[in-house]
Amino acid sequence: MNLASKIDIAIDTAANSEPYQGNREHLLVVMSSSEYDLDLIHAGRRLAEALRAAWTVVNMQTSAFRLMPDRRQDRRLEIARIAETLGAESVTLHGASAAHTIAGYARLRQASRILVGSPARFGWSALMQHACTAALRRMAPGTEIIAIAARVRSDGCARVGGSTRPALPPFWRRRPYSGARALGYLWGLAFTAISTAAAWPIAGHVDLINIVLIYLLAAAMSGMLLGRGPSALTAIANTLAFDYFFVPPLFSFQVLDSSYCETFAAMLLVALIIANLMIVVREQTEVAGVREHHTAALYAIARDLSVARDADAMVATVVRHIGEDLQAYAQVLLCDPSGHISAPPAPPARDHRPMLNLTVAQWVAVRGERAGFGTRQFPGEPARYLPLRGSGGTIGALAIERADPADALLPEQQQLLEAIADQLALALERVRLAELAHAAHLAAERAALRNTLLASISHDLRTPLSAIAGAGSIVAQDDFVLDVYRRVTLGRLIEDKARDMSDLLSNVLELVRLESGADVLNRDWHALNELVGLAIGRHESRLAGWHVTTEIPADLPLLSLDANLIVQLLSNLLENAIKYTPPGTHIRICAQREDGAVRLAVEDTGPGLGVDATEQLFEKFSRGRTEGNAGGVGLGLTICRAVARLHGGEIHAAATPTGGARFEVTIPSTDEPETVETPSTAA
Amino acid sequence: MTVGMHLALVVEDDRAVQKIVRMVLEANGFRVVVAESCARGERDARSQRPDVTIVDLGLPDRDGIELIKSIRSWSPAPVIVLSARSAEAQRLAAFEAGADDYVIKPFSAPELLARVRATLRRHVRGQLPSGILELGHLSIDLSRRVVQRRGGGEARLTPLEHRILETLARHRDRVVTHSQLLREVWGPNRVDTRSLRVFITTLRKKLELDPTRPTYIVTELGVGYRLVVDSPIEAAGDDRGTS
Repeated sequence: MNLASKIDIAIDTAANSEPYQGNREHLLVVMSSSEYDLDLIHAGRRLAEALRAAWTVVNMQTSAFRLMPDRRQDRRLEIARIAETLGAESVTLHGASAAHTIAGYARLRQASRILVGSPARFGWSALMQHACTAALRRMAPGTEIIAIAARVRSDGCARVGGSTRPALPPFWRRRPYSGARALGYLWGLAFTAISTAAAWPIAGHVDLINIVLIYLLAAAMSGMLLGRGPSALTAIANTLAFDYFFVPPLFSFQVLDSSYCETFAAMLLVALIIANLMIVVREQTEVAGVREHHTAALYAIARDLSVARDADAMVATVVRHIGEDLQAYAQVLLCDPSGHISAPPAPPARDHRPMLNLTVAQWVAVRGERAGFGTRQFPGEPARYLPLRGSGGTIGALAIERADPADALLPEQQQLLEAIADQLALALERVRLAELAHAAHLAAERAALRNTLLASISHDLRTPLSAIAGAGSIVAQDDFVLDVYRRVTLGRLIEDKARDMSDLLSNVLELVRLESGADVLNRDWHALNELVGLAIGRHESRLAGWHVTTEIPADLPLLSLDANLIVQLLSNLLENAIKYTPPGTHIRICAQREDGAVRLAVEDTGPGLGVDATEQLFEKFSRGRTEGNAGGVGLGLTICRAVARLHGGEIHAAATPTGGARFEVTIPSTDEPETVETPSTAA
Repeated sequence: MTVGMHLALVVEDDRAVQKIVRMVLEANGFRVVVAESCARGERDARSQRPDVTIVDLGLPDRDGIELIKSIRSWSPAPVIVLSARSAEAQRLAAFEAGADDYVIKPFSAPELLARVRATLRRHVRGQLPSGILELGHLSIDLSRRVVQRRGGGEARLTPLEHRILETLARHRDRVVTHSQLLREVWGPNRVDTRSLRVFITTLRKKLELDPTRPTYIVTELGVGYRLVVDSPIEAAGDDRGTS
């Protein structure tokens, strides 16, 4: 049965069977240590497409894998990369038992099907493969294990995707290894020489078995320090040296006692095994080191992201970490609210940045899939693009480009990168949601304020309007005989009410202007008593029934103020006094210098504020007493407070000792103006 | 039409305001011509030669400020702005364009009438005849720099106070902007208003009955000062001062 029909049957079975999981199916493709992995990958892709399943290519690394020649290891990594370009996820699993590890991973990912290769030739590896498949069937019940036989090629080796790029060494061999290979073998021989020299002086005094132990020690060290080839050389050289220097007859390879042959064999075997074990230990340590590094990197990023206050800081953090941990230049491209990726601002002080292609980034943002270098989409791009997936969709793209273009990302690094992208997306989304929540809160507050404002204003506009309309209709009626007094009364009424409305509108507009937060202050140097006089002047006619006194020290310096606003403030306070105190009340306006500030107070001998929570008086639409209609919309004191605060001061309300109301404004006085200049020419 | 009647040109596009202003002025012995746009206003100003022009700033074709500038370029006749624009900068712009007075809408008829009459009086009166400025209860001899109160007592003016008062008197009843005052008193390169305020304060102490509520040197907030020589408003101020 050839591969194609096998797959067809598998597809057929898949189509007829119920999906294993309610959600999307998951297919694992386990690469075996054979040359037809590429066929396996293509089969996996076809099956995954037919099932519309997500699929993961598992690169199983047991100790057997490490015994493989480097060339085959490299090819497997290359195949894993090809699988990724075909839409697979690739994962590297480490474990002593392949079947056990894969079964565990399948459970973890809730994989419903596992695709394994079935060797075409018979041999040791085929036997191992069959054993592994059988063990997998046993350990992962409920999961369908599909074994695929490969076509045997005439050249005996599956060619890998036409790539001319030299295969990369695995990441744990990222050292100038091959260049130093000859040196390694020399060191291997040196270990033998050293152990021989060390054993020589004690040769006559101890049993030969102790010499063997010294050689085994050398073999172990060679394995730990030098790697596979040199340690094998050490093991062989050790055996030969032992024979030549220590086994009688000395200085000869001849052996008198044939039992030494067994010793040699055991010695060689043990040395090889020890060396290999040492290599495995070392590699696992290195793998653990790399993983620890990645974990540490992720942890550091998570920590930095959690302290970053805004999106820009987060992006900078991630760019820096990618630069440090992956030796790559990164750039984050965020979508605007309409989902469009815009050109990023100038890069941070960095010479390099990914050669960006915004079209690809946009594609990534729209599709939520990775693209660019090393992927199936736009593989010609120099940079790789990863989607930043938030809970509500893609929020942008992360573009990275390795410092060395030939240096592709290894599966571990890709996973690290994706983890970083996910973390960044989450963090950015957090910021975005916080901003949205804040904006929503502000909008709600604004809406509430607008409603109050509208309700208040419409009431306060309608009341005078009805009076105006009524009075106007009487005056306009030609059959109403009005004496002069009535006509004047009606006219006054119309004028007063119209003025009330005008004041209300000015107040609302003024408040809007003051609260816009823009630079509204028009400061100049003013004498406070002049402004007080102007404020009183505004209410000249209405204040006739009140006793107004001012106590402004003559030596009060000029103050840097917005005169209009301060007059408005004072005028509002006077207006309140007129509204809330009976005629005949004394109103006292006084000012005092304090260090660094001027305290201006307006107090009266009226009935007081009538409320305990004086601060509330300054809120919008708050009126001191609810009974009676004193008019006004409750904006006067709000404006006072806005004016005081714009000047860097504050306003407070309090009761006077006699029970009247006292409003006290503190305004910081900046430096006194320098001495007044006299004219250059005398008059 | 009676020859002695003043002719007022009202440039205003709102019908209701037109009607009210016309009513107020005609009831008080003015002849009134109404124009609804800048272009129309300019033509009427040239052909009719009004004694006073009342200009709204927000006109359909152009800004009233331009009309003021254009009228000012050939006519000394007073121009009064009647506008809903109340911001300092807008008032300042109008005064600097050459407006004689500025009445903010909503306005009261008596106030508008008083302002119109005051500007006309000042315009008709022309130069100070003798260098003696009669200011309510004060008699100020500008050449001798002496202020004499009617009830007795006198005060001397410093050279600088004198120059400020002289400048204000030359433009009496009309707003003198801060920059104009600085220019005319201190020379062209002054921008600091602080010394001006100090001198106005000392000047008020010498002239006013109550310096915190001045009746002669009146502040036009954010614009400048006005020396009020005599007007119905001043009469009211006298009453207030004595009560």
